[in-house]
Amino acid sequence: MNYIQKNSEIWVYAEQHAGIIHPVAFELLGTARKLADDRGLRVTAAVLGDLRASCGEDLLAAGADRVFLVTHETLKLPMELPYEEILYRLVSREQPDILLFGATPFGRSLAPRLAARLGTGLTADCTSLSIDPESGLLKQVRPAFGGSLMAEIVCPVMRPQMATVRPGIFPRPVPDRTRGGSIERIWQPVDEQRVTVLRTEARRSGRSIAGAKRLVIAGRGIGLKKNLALVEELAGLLDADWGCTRPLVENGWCDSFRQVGQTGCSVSPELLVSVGVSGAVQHTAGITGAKQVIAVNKDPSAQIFASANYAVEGDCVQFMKNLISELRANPPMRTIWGSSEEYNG
Amino acid sequence: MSMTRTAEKKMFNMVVCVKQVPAGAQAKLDPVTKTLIRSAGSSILNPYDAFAVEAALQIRDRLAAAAETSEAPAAPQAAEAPAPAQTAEAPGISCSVTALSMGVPSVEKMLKDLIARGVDEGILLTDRAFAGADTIATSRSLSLGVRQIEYRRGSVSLIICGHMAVDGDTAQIGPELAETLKLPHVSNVLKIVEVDPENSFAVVECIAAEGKQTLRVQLPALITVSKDINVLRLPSISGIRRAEHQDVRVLGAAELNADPAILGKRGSATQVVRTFTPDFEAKAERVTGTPKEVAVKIRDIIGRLIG
Repeated sequence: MNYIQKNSEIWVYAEQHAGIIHPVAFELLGTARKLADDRGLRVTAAVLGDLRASCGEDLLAAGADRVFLVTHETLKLPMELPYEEILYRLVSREQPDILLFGATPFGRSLAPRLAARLGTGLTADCTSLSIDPESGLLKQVRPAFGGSLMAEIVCPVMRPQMATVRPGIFPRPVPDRTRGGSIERIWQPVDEQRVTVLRTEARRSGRSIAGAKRLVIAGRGIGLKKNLALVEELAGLLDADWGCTRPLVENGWCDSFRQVGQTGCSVSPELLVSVGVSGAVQHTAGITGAKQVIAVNKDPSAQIFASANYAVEGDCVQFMKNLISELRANPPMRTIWGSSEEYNG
Repeated sequence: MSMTRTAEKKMFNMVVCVKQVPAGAQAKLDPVTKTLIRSAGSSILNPYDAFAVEAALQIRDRLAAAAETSEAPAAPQAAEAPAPAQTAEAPGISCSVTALSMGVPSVEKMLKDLIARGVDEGILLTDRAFAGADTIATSRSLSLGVRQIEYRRGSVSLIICGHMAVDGDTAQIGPELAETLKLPHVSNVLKIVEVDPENSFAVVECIAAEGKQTLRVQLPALITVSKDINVLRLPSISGIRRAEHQDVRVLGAAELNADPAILGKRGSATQVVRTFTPDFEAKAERVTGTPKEVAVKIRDIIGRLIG
């Protein structure tokens, strides 16, 4: 079934596991809010699970105008078939214009099922969303061919316009508890037994650098494994976490949770210091959300400089050593009245 | 094999969906039409689909071996790998693996190669009407292909797809095809633990948000397999001979009884408005000087940024 747009709403599916909302849901609500405000639309979040009402309040604070909170013990574990059924009923009834999912393993498994059932289009793994001011269509940009190509995609006729969006691309909004909004609790059992969970094994490392506010990222240019100690030390002085590119994980130098890029995680730190990273698109696809990037590479034509705000041409190991001693001698000032540059006179 | 014997046999038909993709990660675009140049450079089997093919062949081997041992317990266990039975004609179960692809006519060669590696049959959906399809239109075409296989072989119990294709990276075809056929699906399977045709279920391990999950899925079902779960076997001598004589079935929209309006570009819900290479224009401010000067400047910049 499909419908012609009736209800100009942006919907966000808020993924949860064990009652905890996935960070990407807040990132999506922040973006949905901005898109909606520009055009006077309403934002709705849908969350399914075995849930407390406070889940809904967090979603309102992140930018939703209303929340559908579908709760039942049979929905405790996110499973494609029952979740699809419930979202299908909600979406068919409410007919939103846009429906967004986080591009998590579950989101990328659930969203296409729902899209096929609704007979509408779905754009995978978007890195940018905007609404065309003239047509009102959602412009969805996504990488293809490992990021060597970007495609802008629209869904002109079918509704809703559906997209999955990578975690870590959009900033997480500051919660605003004073925002109003409604929470509709729906008690909905689903009888669907075709797929059942026998066992769940937690990942060994629960560590993630996806949410780091400051980050040092090391690439192959650091040369030797022992130089990771410099990376760590630099990160420590900057009160930052550190990550790496894929070759360093493949060499066995780093844990895979530190890998940034298309096959690792996406990051959006306020400050990113990139040392010895060449900047292949597979990596830079994961740092598009970084606010300020300082990149160091001895190759003046390194692609990483295209993603950088500040470019340093030179040996990254020497750079780290000098910067470490400089930061030790004169730590950057945190001042409330101005920048350290003014302070230093 | 007599008719009655065949009728008694339990059928276990599998379908593997495979796609031909350009070799190498770089895309070549037609500068005018902004579409992919499919003919440029060489093409390969999508690496994820190779894992799907091998997974299906291993299930077929396992079921054939299990049927043999259960029917004739006195027979000595085959210590080496069982002879690459093409359609496994073990007593009690008739197992088949069909490779299904949608693409340009030259994909036939890729399917022949899969026959040489042990796949029982190759089916290629090729027609102008299928071209330009987005994921939903593609999954509709593939679903019609599955129906054709069922029409010939009887019901399909398990469909295996690669988790994603390396050219499109959407990972949507599996779940969309499952929905189109109204089958349950499991994405991102790492291991096929058990397949039980008698009781119609499979047990699989898959990647989940919190780590790994073991799931029991009722058959018929569709699964998508993750990277590096196995290595696709090489063609066998007998397989190569068989591939020489066996044609790939090539089907167009008419043979599928398909409504062209729901397929290909016409049937696609999404449209690519434009494609572009990521912007590599340098906007960075160069920070220069002696290494010591650079360190001071960067420290000041950092101080300003985080201050």
